Amino acid sequence: MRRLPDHISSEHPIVTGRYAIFTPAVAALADTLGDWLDKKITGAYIYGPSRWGKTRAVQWYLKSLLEERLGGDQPLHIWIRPLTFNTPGEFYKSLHVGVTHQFSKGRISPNDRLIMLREFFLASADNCRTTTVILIIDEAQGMTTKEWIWLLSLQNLMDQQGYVLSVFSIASHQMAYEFDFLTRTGNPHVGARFLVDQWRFPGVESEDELAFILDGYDEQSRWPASGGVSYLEHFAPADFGHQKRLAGAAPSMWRALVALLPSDHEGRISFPMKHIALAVEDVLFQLAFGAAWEDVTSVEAWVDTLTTHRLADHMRAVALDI
Amino acid sequence: MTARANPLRLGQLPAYAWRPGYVHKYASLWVTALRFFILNRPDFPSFVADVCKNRHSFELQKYIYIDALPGLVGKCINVDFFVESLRENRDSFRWANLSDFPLGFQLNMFSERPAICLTCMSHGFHSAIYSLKWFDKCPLHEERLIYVCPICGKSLKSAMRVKQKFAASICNCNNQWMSMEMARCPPEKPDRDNLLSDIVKWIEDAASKCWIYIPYSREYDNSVVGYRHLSLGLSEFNESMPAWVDMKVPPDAQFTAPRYRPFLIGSILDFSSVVIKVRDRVKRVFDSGFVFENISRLKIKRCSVEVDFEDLTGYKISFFFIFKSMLRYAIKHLLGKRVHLIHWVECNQSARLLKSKVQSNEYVAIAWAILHWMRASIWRTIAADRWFQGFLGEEESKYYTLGGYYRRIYGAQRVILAGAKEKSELWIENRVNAASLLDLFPTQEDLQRCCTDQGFIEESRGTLPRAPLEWWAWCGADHRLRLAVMQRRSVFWHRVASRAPSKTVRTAEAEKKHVSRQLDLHKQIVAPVIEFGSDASWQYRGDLSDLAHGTVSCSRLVMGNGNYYRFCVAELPRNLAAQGERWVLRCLDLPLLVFSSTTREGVIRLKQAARLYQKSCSRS
Repeated sequence: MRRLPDHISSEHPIVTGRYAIFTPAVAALADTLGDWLDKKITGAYIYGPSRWGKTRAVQWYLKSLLEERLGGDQPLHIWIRPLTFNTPGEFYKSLHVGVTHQFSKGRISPNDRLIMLREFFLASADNCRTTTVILIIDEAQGMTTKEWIWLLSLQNLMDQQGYVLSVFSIASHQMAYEFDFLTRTGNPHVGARFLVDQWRFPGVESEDELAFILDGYDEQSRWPASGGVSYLEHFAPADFGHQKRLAGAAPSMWRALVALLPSDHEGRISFPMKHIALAVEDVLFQLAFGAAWEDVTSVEAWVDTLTTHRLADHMRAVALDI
Repeated sequence: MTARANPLRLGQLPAYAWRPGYVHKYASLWVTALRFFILNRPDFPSFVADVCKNRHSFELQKYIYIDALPGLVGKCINVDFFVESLRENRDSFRWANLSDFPLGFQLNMFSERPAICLTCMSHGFHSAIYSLKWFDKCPLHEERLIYVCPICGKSLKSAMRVKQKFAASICNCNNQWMSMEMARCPPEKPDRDNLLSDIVKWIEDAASKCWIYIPYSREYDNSVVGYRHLSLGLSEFNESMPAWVDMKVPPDAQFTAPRYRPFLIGSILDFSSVVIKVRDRVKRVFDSGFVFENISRLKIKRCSVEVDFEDLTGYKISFFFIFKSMLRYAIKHLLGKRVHLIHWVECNQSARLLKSKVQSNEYVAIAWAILHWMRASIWRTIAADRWFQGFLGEEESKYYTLGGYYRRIYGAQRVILAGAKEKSELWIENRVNAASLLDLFPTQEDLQRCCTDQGFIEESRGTLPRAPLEWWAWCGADHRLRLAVMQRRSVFWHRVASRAPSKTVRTAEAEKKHVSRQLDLHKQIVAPVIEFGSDASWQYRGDLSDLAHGTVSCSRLVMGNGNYYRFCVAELPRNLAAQGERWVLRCLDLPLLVFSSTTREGVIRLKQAARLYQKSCSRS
């Protein structure tokens, strides 16, 4: 851990890593989910390679974007599935804890947990004055048939009370085969409930998108949230004062990103948000330590930085998913 | 859309299954907690930790009181939880539990067990108002209120405890009382709210006339209402009394005023159901209270207070006046930061046991009632604890609360206590002492100044005498209220209401008892005995019925080494008295009987016979 310069607060989001930059993909995710909700789809899945920014999009932006689109509070619950479950008790307990019910801990039978979950979801729907409860399951690529069926029980219970449980799964590429698998193994009704539609979560796919993202560091970010300065201004106030902006370095960074693609890469170009964020953070730290603007925003510098974070290896690993 | 440094916490939604806005007006705190329990199904320790805000004590996690009592934080349901965590409106809890009612109502107007209307419960509603003693039927449904669980038949408790998982019951079983649908969203009923609001309005009105609100920690108890003229208050009280009050006039009540309904007042105030006679109409309740008592046998040491009153008539009135007087004293001193009354009971006696003891003695009951009344005002608050701690000059509190009563293990007594002292009531000895109270009771001028100017009495406390004393208040022949200190070696209580039987009745009862005893002894004398004959053997002697005659007296035949036999002595009838034998002595424990000319000789003979009997028994 390096020692920070005096003017950099140790609580800054760039230092702690607790921040999210709004990207066009985040907006597209909210639009897609909004469309599905409009169509009253009871279940669909979103897939995309890892490190593309799906989870951050869900955890940091989805609720407010949906509320903006649908108007008013939305009963949005997120469950990050930790592992595969062998019993309904384990499954419901994990779901129960995941949706942050206050009394989820302790020894409770699966049936009781089912009732508690139903009441919790119904209350959240009533509090938001809607009849649709949104459940996002992250890391859903490993969901087993049994788990889908247990989830179906909950959906049916809510359906009896006149409420809809819309389950949107977020997964990597494996999810693409799940629908066929369920259909061929005698559970087409499960697929028809939870895997009705699908959508590919995009990465950073163009230079314009990259410039939009970098502008988030330049201008659209604030710390502290009220009355603060942008991330770039906090780390490099002098450069910021000289009207230097990261968005201006988007072409050089884009060239570096493209240069690091595998030589046999075919198909669309899409880059992970995580690596872009890590590269920008490195640049901000270098600027804070007094590096020259031109030295850290050149194509070579971007290549060095991205190589440090093993972008090329990652792109090779996820090439099949893109 | 900007970058975010803080994630949008999904926890913005409540972490409980709860819909704000469904706590209806006048719903009891218990029914709200019950609904919460049904919907969320917590395990009981978690429920206590969240709803009672008690995350420490394992002991207290076994049960919680269904009322939110200011002095019992952590042991009862916390209204703040519903307001802060569940976003309920605090006004919805205005009449949710006993401590929200005026002080006088809190003390004696509620039944010990919660009263429940099953129809209301099936609609997800229950009110603390139902537990008022007047009601035996639901004011809305005209259905009889129940005090026992309809499933298990056990009495309802004033505490929730877990009998089975997911059932915080106030009975002995797993009764959930209402369906899940009703727990979610109990329906609104405007007619019920209107009816209950009438009752509440009447309660507040009655309280403003008959009771005083003491400044309290609760935001809606911050008004101090002055005393009102009692007779005026009573007439208003009756006129504004709603139809639903089922008045029960006591059979021995004698009312000159046709619309006078003192029983209601009595039930508010009267702890021991002892009625004190007041000779004339009370006109100046504002100043003090008045009681009548035969004081001819009391040795009066001091009269501290004399208050004029006039035009008394023959009403029977409860302790209202004494309470008023004592309460006013307490309030003035409480507000003047000079509190002198402490409820002091022995630590190893339960509240129920104490109550049963005091109820057996009318006079102790009166003292107890006054103390109880005092405690009902300010002593229920934590502030009183802290004040008392400071008053004693102690840093750490050594006393604790249990069952709503303050208890303290404390040797020396240097603060003022009120009540009585009697040999037979050792439990109250050195714990109830009125000496200091009388020393500090304000003078007439001070009282008037307090009442008119709302000022406080400034008086140096000084050293207080702490002799074991009794005190009482009575109405003198000059129509003045008097508080006296009585010092006697043997306490003799005068009965205020002549409940004791007259001397004639007592004599008749004693005579009856004596006759019964004599008959019993006669029967024992004529029972068959054995005699030690001249041939040195025991002989049976059967028919002795002629011996039953005259008065029989009993005594003991001392046999040495602490042993004795009981025997009785009777005079022989004249026709049987021969050879100078006038007395017959019969051992009640052995089948022995002797005749003698004198009782002394008879005792010697009986003793010899008893020894012979013992020897023969040991041989055999």
